[in-house]
Amino acid sequence: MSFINRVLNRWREPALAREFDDELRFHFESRVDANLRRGMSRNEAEIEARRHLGSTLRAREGMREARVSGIIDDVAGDLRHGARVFSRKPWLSAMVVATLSLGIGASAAMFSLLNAALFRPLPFPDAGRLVALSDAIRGDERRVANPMIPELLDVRAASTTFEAISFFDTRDSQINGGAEPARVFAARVESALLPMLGVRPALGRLFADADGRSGSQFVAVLSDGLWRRNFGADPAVVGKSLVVNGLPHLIVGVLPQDFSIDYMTAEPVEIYLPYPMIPAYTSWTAEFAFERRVIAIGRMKRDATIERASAELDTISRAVVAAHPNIYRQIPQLKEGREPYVAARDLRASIAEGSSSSALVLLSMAVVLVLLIACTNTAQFLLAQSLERRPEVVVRNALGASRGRLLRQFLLEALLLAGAASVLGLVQAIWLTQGFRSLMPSFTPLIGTIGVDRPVLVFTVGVAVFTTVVCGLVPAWRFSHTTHLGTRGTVAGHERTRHVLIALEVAISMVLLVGAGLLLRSLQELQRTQSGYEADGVTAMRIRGIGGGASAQSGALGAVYQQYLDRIVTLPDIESAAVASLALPSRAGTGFSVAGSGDASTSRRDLGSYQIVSPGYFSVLRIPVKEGRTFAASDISGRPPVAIVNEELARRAWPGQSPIGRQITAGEGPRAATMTVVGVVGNIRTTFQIGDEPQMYASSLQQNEPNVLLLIRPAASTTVPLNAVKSAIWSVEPRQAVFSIRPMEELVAERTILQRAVAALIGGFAILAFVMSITGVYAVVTYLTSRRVKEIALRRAIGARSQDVVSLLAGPAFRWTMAGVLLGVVGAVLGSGLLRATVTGVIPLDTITVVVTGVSYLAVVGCAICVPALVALQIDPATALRSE
Amino acid sequence: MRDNKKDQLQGTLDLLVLRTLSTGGTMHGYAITERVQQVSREVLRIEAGSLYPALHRMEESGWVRSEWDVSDNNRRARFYTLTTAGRKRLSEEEEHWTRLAGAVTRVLKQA
Repeated sequence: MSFINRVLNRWREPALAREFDDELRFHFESRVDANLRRGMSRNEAEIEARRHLGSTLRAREGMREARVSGIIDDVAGDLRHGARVFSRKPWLSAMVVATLSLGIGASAAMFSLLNAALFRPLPFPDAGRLVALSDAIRGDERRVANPMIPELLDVRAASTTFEAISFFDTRDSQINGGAEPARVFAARVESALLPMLGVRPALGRLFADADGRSGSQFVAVLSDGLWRRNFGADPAVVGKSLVVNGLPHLIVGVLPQDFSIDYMTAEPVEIYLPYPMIPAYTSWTAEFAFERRVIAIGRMKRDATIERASAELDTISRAVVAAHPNIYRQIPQLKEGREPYVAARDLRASIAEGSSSSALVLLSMAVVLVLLIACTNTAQFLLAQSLERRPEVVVRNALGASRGRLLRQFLLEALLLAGAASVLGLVQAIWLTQGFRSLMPSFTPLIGTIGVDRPVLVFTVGVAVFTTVVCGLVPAWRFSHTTHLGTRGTVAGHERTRHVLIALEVAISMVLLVGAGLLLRSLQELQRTQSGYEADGVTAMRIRGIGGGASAQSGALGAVYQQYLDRIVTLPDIESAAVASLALPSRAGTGFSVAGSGDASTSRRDLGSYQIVSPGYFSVLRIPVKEGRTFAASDISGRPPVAIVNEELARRAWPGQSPIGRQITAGEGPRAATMTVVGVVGNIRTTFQIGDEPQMYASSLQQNEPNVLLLIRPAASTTVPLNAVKSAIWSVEPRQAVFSIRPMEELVAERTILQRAVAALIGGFAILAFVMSITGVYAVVTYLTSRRVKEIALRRAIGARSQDVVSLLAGPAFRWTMAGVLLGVVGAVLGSGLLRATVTGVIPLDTITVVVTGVSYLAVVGCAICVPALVALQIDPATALRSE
Repeated sequence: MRDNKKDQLQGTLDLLVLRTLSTGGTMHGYAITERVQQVSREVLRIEAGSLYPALHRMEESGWVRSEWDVSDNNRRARFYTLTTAGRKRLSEEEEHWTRLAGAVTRVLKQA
């Protein structure tokens, strides 16, 4: 407290001075009184009192010193001094601030990304009590699946630790009434969901329990966006009717603008419908009971913990599993003795996990490395400044400036640079976060709102303090060993400090460069490997079949799609067209089994990808048929179910034998079917796959899939006539919405977006680190050389050869750079392990990448080191010696 | 780093002032100098140039507190009072001084 008082007293010095005077005057007058009492004349008394009092100047000065801290003025003086020093070298100072600001700006932008993706709480009231519920397998915790509806209902009925448990799913829907049928992204929510998330309707009401039960009226709640876009923010919209998926729905409510459940969905939800709570979904014996498409959320009671909730869920799941053994036995991943259970996880954490959090952490580490290089450069600069000011420092020391005082000065100068760099860095961070936002896949609600907000500002202040300390301490530490005028020894000490800093900078740059090289080679590798298909020129669009649904006859939708396709292929400029449930095979995640050679005991279970496609799929994507045939128009519902497999599946399931005519059982729940293999097609690699995976295809004419992609290949060197395609579709079904029309190549590229984003960012950081380290090394060597101009001249005057001089000047820097490169290789080996663990598809670190990166880096650094030495040789020894 | 010699002298001054305040209660600066001079039989004289900086320093350190009041001779004066922290400081300084004085005496007698 006293210190703060003393600092503040600086602004009340006049009042203090009056008090000092009053106090001294009282002392003087008391003495005079005493003297008068002793019988002196007034004159004598005053003279004696004045003598007795002594120096009032000293007293006042002493009191002032006791009361007023001069730190503010000292600090201001130091700052002014620092600014003067830097303004003497404007270009160099500007460069240092610029590099530091790049480091700080990149860190701040990265932090805003990390904060938004991982830490910022979800915008629901009391969000800490929300948990995600999923099905897990004990002992195989990595695999989680969405829960089943009957299972959730049983859990909800038995649980006491939850205030509410609810669920939802999303689907493409279409609304009619506009110029052309419009597609909307809908969420089907169980009635408890919206109240559980704490939302109140902006207009009308939310769903009641009765909504969604069989026989109830169809109702819908609009999102704020849809209400504004399609209804012109009509305040009287409640009570109006809207045709959704061909059926009239009553609009009962509108949600507020700041509410969405988009954190958990693939696209922004535009319309909310009640979940159909009909036996087909809710009963354990229903055909659709197996569907695992709902996302389940629970809100724990106020006094419950996630541990208590999990313990209770364990008990409940055991009973539920025991009651329905035949259903749980079908889980393909369930090995002997493994037990399925319903798991609860913090909702925020489970959402964060889905947003490639480990890649973000990795990128943050990379950005810290860039920041460290920027700090090193700044420290080098301050060190050079301090060395130049050695006489001044020595004089200050001699005049009694304490070490603390000198340390303060160095720290303040560093603060000056870091402060300027932080302001610039924040500006860059604003640009960078905007850049991130536009780079992100079209829809990422967590990240969509990033920017320079308060946490980012706090973080930047923290980074500025960190850089200040790191950059200021190095020269201060060097100088704490220097109290007398420089001798050769202390200069050598400085050189060593600078060389160690060079080695560090080089090592860090190497790690980033090798990492970037590795990522680049991994991307190349991906492009080089046979993808097994051709997507160029193909246009993809999405449709949602009308008239499908729980009750539709299997294959009914496929027949409708086939009518669309038949019309489309007759259009001019169209080569082929097909529908598919997925544009390309996904990761192997569907269990399948094949019977061994007539013997049930040798039957095999494995995982593969599973797609529903129409006959034309393989020709649209030019996937070669290796054996047998593709689907035919005759493979319709009612005929024996047929399947096509890829070569990899055939190799694994029936090694050395022809798969044609064999039986394969695949699919979960209602789709589970035993099909006859009629054809074998080539393998497809769609992501960073190291090996081929089993792939299966079922016929769209025998399955019911409402959400499909329409893939159209135009005739060579033409584009797909979109309007003609739409008209062709509408000539069959005028209510059909066609949406998300995109080149297939874009869809393909989306699959490697994480890999490409990481590669781009690490690459950017590596380039930054490369430039910073090269300029840093160059500046240091130039500086060290410039200090030895006379020595060089003298050496040359007495006969030193050019190569002697170059090796004298460049040798130590080069040796330390080598050490840095070697250290960097060690770091890169460790870092590449991390990279491979984080980003799928990264190839192992190979010698070639390391050697090529190391050698080319050394070559560039070598130039940066040798150029100043060679420049020094140009100086005429006689001139150099005569100067000064 | 403070000079050691200066430290010791300052310590002695602090000791005298604190001790005087501990017996005399609330006093102004002039009374303190008079009292020290009187008790030390005119040997120790404290100059205003040393006393007042010391008093102000001790107040900043929390050993004494001060307030303006009217003196016996009807003038406005600043009165100083020892605080609890000051009392603790005094006992430390006293102990330190006794040890130092004892040591010096022993050296003078035996060396």
